[in-house]
Amino acid sequence: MSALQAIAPREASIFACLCDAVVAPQPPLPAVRATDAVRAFDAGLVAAPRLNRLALRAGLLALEVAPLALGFGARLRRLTPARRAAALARLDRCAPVAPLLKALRAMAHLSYYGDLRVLNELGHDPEAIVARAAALRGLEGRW
Amino acid sequence: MSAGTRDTGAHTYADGGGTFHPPERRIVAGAGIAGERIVTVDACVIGSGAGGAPVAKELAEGGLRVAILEEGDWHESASFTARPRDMMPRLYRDAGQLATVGTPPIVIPLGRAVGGTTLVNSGTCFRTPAHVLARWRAAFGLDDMTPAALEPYFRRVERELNVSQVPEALPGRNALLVRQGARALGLHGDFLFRNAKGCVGSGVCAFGCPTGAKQHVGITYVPRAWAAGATTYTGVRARHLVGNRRRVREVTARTAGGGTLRVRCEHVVIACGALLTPGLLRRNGLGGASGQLGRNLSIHPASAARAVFDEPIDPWDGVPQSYYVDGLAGEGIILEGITGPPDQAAMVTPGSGAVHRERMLAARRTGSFGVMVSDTARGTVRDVGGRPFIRYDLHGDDAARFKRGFEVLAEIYWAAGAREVVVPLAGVPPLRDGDSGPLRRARVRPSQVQAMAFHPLGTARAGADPRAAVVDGALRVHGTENVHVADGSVVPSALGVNPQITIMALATRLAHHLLGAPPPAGEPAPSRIA
Ligand SMILES: Cc1cc2nc3c(=O)[nH]c(=O)nc-3n(C[C@H](O)[C@H](O)[C@H](O)COP(=O)(O)OP(=O)(O)OC[C@H]3O[C@@H](n4cnc5c(N)ncnc54)[C@H](O)[C@@H]3O)c2cc1C
Ligand code: SF4
Repeated sequence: MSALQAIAPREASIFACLCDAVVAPQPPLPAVRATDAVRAFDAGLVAAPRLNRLALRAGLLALEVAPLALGFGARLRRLTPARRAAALARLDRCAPVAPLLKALRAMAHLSYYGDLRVLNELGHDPEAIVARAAALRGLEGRW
Repeated sequence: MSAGTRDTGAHTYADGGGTFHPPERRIVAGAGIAGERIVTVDACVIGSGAGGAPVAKELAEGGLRVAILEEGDWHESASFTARPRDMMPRLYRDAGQLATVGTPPIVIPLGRAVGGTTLVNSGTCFRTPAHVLARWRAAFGLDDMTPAALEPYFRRVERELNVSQVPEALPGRNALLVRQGARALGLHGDFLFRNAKGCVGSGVCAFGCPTGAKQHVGITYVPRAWAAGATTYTGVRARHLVGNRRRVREVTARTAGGGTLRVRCEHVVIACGALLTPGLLRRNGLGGASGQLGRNLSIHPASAARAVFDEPIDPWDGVPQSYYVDGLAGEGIILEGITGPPDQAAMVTPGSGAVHRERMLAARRTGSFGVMVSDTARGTVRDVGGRPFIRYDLHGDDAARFKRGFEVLAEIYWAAGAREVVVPLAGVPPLRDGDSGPLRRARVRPSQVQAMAFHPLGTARAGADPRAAVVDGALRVHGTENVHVADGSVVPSALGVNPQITIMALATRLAHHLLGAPPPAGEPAPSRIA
């Protein structure tokens, strides 16, 4: 993986864990670590406004410890998948953190499902679109 | 199907309409300006989107020396990857994360590039509805905004952009199913008119059209402006309007290279878009006298239902916004196509974990269609630390309209054979087997609506009365002599339809006014009007 620019390795690891929980990949879908989801999340944060970037990074750190506060007995990354899902469901009902979790979940879904292999697995082929476009541009005076 | 200039996008690229290759690309990258650069022109146009590009082109062709200042970059079609996840951070302001503060929070994506938001929009074209123009005349004293008076400007815009109806081969299966359902219910609908040429239905208009088929203003108006001598400065952010309260003599901009661009000019046209223009005006002490600057923000909130079918419909094949249903237009509701590749769908597909995964695994069988509501609520925008801070609360009546729109859309999808319909209203369970009962019985509050908005308008509204409007009927900032606005902020009320060609027609009209020229003559008449 190329070096991350916006997030620290610990935040990357929490994001991967969140991604795993909200995507719950099973064959034919690849595991999160086999995709470029974390790198894409990092790239999104690089282009985001500073305040959003700070809020999302802080949100990841808060998410990691929130299960302790909710009585789940361990941090997010140390919970079993089932307990992790239960902790996130509880956080969804917790007014102060719910909007942040919603934003992080949307970014996790976008980051994971934008991976080329995942897109192909679902029947979508962006490379074919780009190749056809290049051919058309070669034939006609398109921009 | 229509004929003549509004024929389908099948024309070759040599017929003179739409896409245009100038002899020279007159782009100066702000990244290369580290010190101070001074240029002198007749007109400085700030922003190169739906408003800025047409005004710049018309002024340049009218003989003025024009500089276009654009904060974003120039992008080649060849650099577009057809992958929403990767294009959003490159083409959208704030990576597409700009959102309202209010109930519910609503994301408002904006383009930031040469072409502005037209680079990433869906290409749908509607003229300003006649009843909206009637309201502008009655409520805002915009007496000459009649359909007949605006007709020449619309004709010009439609020719420049090759506005044409989506042909039968391109709408995609999702839209054809909606057409089938709407017809079964006797609801009026049709293929949309779009600014496209040589479209092959690759389904990623909102993430940079890789085929160069979408005729956004960055590949139509801007190159024609270059051919007439205008220069585009990219990566420059206009900050100061230097002069006195009546007359601006110079625009200064911060460049991406850390330098300063100073543009000395006779006319300033601000076209930064409805969320950024008020900040620029206010920072420079202009346009505030009426107390309306940054107010009256309408956003045309939009949401989309998803419908699962038994057979694959590959919703990403075809034009994503190709069909509309206007049977509810009288209630301020319009249904328009909205689909995209799986990563775009994943963001808005409800659920988490296994529930979300199963929905995504059914992506090939899942269609989606949008509900847009002509809003009654109004928001505000102000500049906080150089960024727009947007306050907006969805009105209860508008939440009720979303519910009504989704009820009709669910019936359309049932009539088309859908097995399940999911509406993005919190607390409403997925609808199954033709039963819309849970939706009908639900009481929907604004906080339950999951919406986005693509059409911010009205924050520097036009009107004859300087006590009630920011710009006058000629789009001149009240109280100034040479500062005009040509973007979505001048549109004085919600339109109920997509706004891009309204903005372009008003911008064209402004240019003709500044040139002292009559309305364009000799533009071909369309055989049909959207
Ligand atoms: C995803 C999406 C789909 C859409 N689909 C449609 C559609 O199908 N049909 C339709 O009619 N409308 C559509 N719209 C809306 C339409 O594109 C906009 O209403 C229209 O482009 C607004 O025009 P504008 O001139 O007000 O602003 P913009 O087109 O946004 O242009 C403003 C430009 O000014 C630049 N700028 C801002 N501040 C500065 C500064 N200080 N200095 C220099 N440059 C600056 C910005 O970077 C930007 O490029 C869509 C919008 C989105 C986001
Ligand atoms: S459908 Fe594809 S080819 Fe057509 S305008 Fe959109 S992105 Fe371009």
